[in-house]
Amino acid sequence: MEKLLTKLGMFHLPFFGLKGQGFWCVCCLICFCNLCFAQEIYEGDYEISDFSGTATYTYTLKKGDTLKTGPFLFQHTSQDNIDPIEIKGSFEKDIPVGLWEYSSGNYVPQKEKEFVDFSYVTKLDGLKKAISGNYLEGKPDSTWTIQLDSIRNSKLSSNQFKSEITYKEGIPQLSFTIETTENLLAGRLLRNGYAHDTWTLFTKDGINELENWVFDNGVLKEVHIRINDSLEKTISFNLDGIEDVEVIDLDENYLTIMEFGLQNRDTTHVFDHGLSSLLKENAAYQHQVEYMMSDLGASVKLAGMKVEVPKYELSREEERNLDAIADHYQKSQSIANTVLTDTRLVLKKLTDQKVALFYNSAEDIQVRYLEKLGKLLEYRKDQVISFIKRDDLIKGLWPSGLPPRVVMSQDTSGREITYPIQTDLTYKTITDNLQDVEDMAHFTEALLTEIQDDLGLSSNDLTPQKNADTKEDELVKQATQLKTYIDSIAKPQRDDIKKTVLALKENTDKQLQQYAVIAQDSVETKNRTAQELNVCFAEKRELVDLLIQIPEDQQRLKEAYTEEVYVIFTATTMEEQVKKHIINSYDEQILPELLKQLREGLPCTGIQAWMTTYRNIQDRLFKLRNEDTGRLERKLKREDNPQEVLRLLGVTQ
Amino acid sequence: MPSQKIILPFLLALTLAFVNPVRSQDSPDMDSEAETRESKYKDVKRKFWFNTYGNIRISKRLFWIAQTHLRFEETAGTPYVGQIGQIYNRHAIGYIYDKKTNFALGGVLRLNFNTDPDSEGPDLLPEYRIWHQYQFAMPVYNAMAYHRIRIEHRWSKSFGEEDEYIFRNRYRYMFRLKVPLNKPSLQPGALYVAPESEVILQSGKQVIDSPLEDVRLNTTLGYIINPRLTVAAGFMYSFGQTLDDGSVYNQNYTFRIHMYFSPDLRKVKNKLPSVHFRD
Repeated sequence: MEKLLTKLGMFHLPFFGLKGQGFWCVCCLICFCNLCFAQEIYEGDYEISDFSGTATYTYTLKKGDTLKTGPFLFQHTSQDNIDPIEIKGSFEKDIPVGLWEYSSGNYVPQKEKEFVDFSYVTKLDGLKKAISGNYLEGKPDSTWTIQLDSIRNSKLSSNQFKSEITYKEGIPQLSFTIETTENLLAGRLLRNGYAHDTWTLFTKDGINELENWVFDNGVLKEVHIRINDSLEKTISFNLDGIEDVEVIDLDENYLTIMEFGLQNRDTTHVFDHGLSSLLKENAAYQHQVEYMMSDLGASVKLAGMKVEVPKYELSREEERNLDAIADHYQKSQSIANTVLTDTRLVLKKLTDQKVALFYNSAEDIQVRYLEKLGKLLEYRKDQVISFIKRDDLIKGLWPSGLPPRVVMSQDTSGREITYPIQTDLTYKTITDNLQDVEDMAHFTEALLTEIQDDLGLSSNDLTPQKNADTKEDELVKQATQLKTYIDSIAKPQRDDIKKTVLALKENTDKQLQQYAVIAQDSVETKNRTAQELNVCFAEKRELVDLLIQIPEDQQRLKEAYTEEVYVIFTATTMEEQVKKHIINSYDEQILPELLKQLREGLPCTGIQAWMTTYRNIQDRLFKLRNEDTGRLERKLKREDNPQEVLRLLGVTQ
Repeated sequence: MPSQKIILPFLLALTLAFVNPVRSQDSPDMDSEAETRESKYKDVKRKFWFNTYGNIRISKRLFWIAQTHLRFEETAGTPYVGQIGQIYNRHAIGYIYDKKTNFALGGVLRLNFNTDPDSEGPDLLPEYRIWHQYQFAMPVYNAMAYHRIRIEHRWSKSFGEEDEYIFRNRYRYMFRLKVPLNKPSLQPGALYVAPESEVILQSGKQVIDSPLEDVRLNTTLGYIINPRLTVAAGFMYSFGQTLDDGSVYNQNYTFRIHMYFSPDLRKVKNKLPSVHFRD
């Protein structure tokens, strides 16, 4: 070839001064041109891990297959979207290469807008996650960083989590660190990725050692935990004599395995917090990258720290038990879903004693039997069961034995009653083998089949609501959502707020009950009531959101009415609450009265007016802060009628 | 022992400090008389003080110091509160230099009651003072330490029939700590302990051999009700040379109750910013 080109005189071109180099330059140019012609650009919609966005990348077609080659960019962002995602990197024939950056955010816009350069700017608060590192021929290489930063006023505020792990040809090695706002974990890995030496969890100042995990070539030997300043606990692990061991990844599954193995002799639950939670959090972020890359067609492995664990192979019998449990669970869950999501039943159980008995029984079965069975099957899916002794597994899931063969239900008035079990199937509650768990799963399925039959839901037709009223559907769906929402937010609330939101939930049940009675009359009334209740439930949701804001509003009010006072006696500044009578009147009279109105059952028509009054009071109180209120305070001091207090404050006439 | 090597010279120096220079120039006869002299401590007198301290803010930098002290002392039959001893009215205008430093200048009208049952002198005699004070605060961990230098120019008179008003100067240095016990700092709701010690020296024509008027060792337990009001109670042991004879020392046990109040007479608009003095 070279001789041929020389004969053709191509090497006499002036810029090809050197013979050999010139030849290769020509070849490169030809190849480059070929590449240019073969490459195509994609710019359009793309989906990664359930996130829709747009992607831009170049690709080549080879035998009908698309091979990503060159830079890749995915963006999930829009005007309304405050949870943006960006993935940036490069491919070489569908294999990730070079630097990759994964960033995502979870932001909440601030209430107030700022006027800047003739436009209103909304600042954001939230959390920004950034993961970055290099791939060498599809394998992680060099240092990978995972970083979570909190954002305040649209600026980086503080670092919440940071991990740095070094990879070589896909294997994590050398020393690594994971730090949070409070703790710092430093550990070491061998060249083959095996955990080794002492991993230490320090307090952030680096002075106190909180936990030490001692690994030897992938085997965890000892854990030292500092309980308090004077007490340290040591837990030893011994794999000597265990022949069947396996090397697995050090991720959340490993920590689950260790927690199960240790439950009998460790009350501190070492694998549930501290050093463990740092490793779990880190592994979870690594898995997110793995899933995203898998959606991009590249199989990468970031969570690659290795540990050795004993293996307790599942016997053929146990495999059969698990298969049977999965089968019973699937059928049971399907029936439970059908019953519990049937809007007709949800309404009917409020007035019909029989339906109430069956429906509420299904709810109890869901909670007491099905949830733990589901957890067991999740462990099977994660392939951790074969690393946990079966008795440890069962004890871990059901510490007081399998649930007793009793199903509790409620009648229409909420009184507890026992469901009369018809099936003869039984099981042992105190057990250490999967056969009894299978028996229980079978019993559960039989129970739910009974309930399904008694409710007249055909087993062949598990979608019985073909002709159901869509308005009624919507109503029940909205009521269920409202009640679930209230349940989810009620627990951590202050007592008065909790009582009020729970009263709203109870009131929602009553409204549905009234609707269920009306629904038996005329279609016209039923439709009108359904429509009114739909509006009412939407307003109630808004009201609940406002109620849970009250403590924060009160805090803001308190801050507004707090002054820094310089005290000469101590030569220090102290905080002082000013205009105490105004704030006291609000805290002790107005707010309790407003909440009482809600607890006593405010009609739907009054919700908007209530919310307006609440907002007006807030506005008025903030205005009063800077007004001369001496006379008003004297009057408030003597007044204990909330209505009169509202009048004095100028909220009502 | 190494500690003795340090303590002995220190004690020697302290002793020399109280040797009266006039006496050291006395004749050999007087020397031998001095060698036989020894200091004497009078019996302890038990007292009770109820003191109010007001710091009334009148402008950004100025404040009015208004203090009233009711001082009782024992009688033969009643310890601590048997009779009124003195009523103090101490007033001044203070100046806040910065958050940690303030100065004050003012006057005192003290009413001295005749507490000697054998005296034939008047029942009540006023005493007048001009005083100025320099106070420096410094944070120590979560506590505050205070250095107070107070200088007083006083005109006082004893209850003897032939006694005249005499003029003396007083030089006072006090070191005080305020340590919060139940809160991270001195703030409303904080209970604090305040150990303090004060040395009061005096000079004047009549002060011959008694420069050490008083040494006060006092500990107080206080409670900050709010930035405007604090209450405290404590116990003090004090001793000092009598004016007539430097070798004779008074001793007192004093139970003290204090109330500190600090109203702000400024109008709302003048209060802000209230804390930035030199920032």
